[in-house]
Amino acid sequence: MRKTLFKYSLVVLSVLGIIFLLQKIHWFPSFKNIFASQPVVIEETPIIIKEINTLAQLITITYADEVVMDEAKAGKGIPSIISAGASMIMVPSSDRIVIIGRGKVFAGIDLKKLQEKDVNVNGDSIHVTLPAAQILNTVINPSGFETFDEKGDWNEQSITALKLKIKNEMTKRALHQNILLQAEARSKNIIETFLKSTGFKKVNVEIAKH
Amino acid sequence: MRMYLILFFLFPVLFINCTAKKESKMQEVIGLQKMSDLATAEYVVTKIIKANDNKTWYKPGDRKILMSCKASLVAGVDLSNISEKDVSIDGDNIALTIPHARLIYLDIKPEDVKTVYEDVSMFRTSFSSQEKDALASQAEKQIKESADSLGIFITAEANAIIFINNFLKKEGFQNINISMSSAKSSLQ
Repeated sequence: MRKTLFKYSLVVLSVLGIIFLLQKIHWFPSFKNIFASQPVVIEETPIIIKEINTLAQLITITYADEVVMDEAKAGKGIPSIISAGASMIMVPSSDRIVIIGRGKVFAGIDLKKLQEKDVNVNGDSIHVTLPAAQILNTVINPSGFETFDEKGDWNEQSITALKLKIKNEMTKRALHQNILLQAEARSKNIIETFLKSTGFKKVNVEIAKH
Repeated sequence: MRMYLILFFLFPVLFINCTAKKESKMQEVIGLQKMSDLATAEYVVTKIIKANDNKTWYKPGDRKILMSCKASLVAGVDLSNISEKDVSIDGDNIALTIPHARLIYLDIKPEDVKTVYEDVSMFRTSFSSQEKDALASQAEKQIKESADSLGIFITAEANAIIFINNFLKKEGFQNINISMSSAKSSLQ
């Protein structure tokens, strides 16, 4: 028995030794990759330009945040039985999805709204009335979404709806942080600095009322 | 008996290194941050996301997916990079040097990523939400990397010059000369 064990050990070790050497010269795949699931890589496809738009947005504040939201509905699976005191209750199965969204809210002023009457020059003094600050965009890209849990059958529309709820919640939180007031203060500061650098001695910048 | 002995020696080796690597995610600061970007150009682009999951040898059958995605790229100039040395005034004449345009953000809205076609073989499960997001993330990366070749920075710089030129005219300057800085700003 001991002799047989030694014989087989020797064979296995020799095989492993050969595999090890073959791996070193890349003639055999590494054990690390044998059972590893290969990543799904997308093909290089052309990027088509659909629209080109001219903007004049002064982005002055960005708010980064992460929001977690979940959605649940009655599932089609087998109901589970739970005990409630002395009796047993049949609970229908439920489908559940939990998504984490990480993104940014951009706030600032749209300078396209600036009109001739908003700029008054008098010698070396200037008065500018800037448009009120607004949320310019809330961005959560695919790389910013993480599906933490997905149980049951969820169609694309429901997932998209949940993602949009996450985006809206992020915008709400940014507004709650007084992002617009801060964006206005910063916009005023940037424009004042710019006007002073262009030679004006007296600079008066105000924000139009909401 | 012989078979058991071989399996006894081979099993530990086969399962070594089969554990999945945990990817470390970069920490991002959450909260408010100041910016001074003048966004001047937006490019709306589309891309087809094409993938075939047939590379893993032990998974029977394959899965194919075709998705469409629409993205918007916004570029502009960072006004905080304009200092006093970049402005020279002589009466009604002004010369201004502005920094090169950079990508301010890329926006792929959830509703703009759609599955057009999906073919899943009998022994495989359909693409999960997480897997679809991972594929769209790859497209996001490809779009971001191609920003320069799309010509958005040239458009953003041209638009920035026009906008600042008009603004300076409103201030009363007659001869306005706006040029781009020689230093190339880094992409976000």
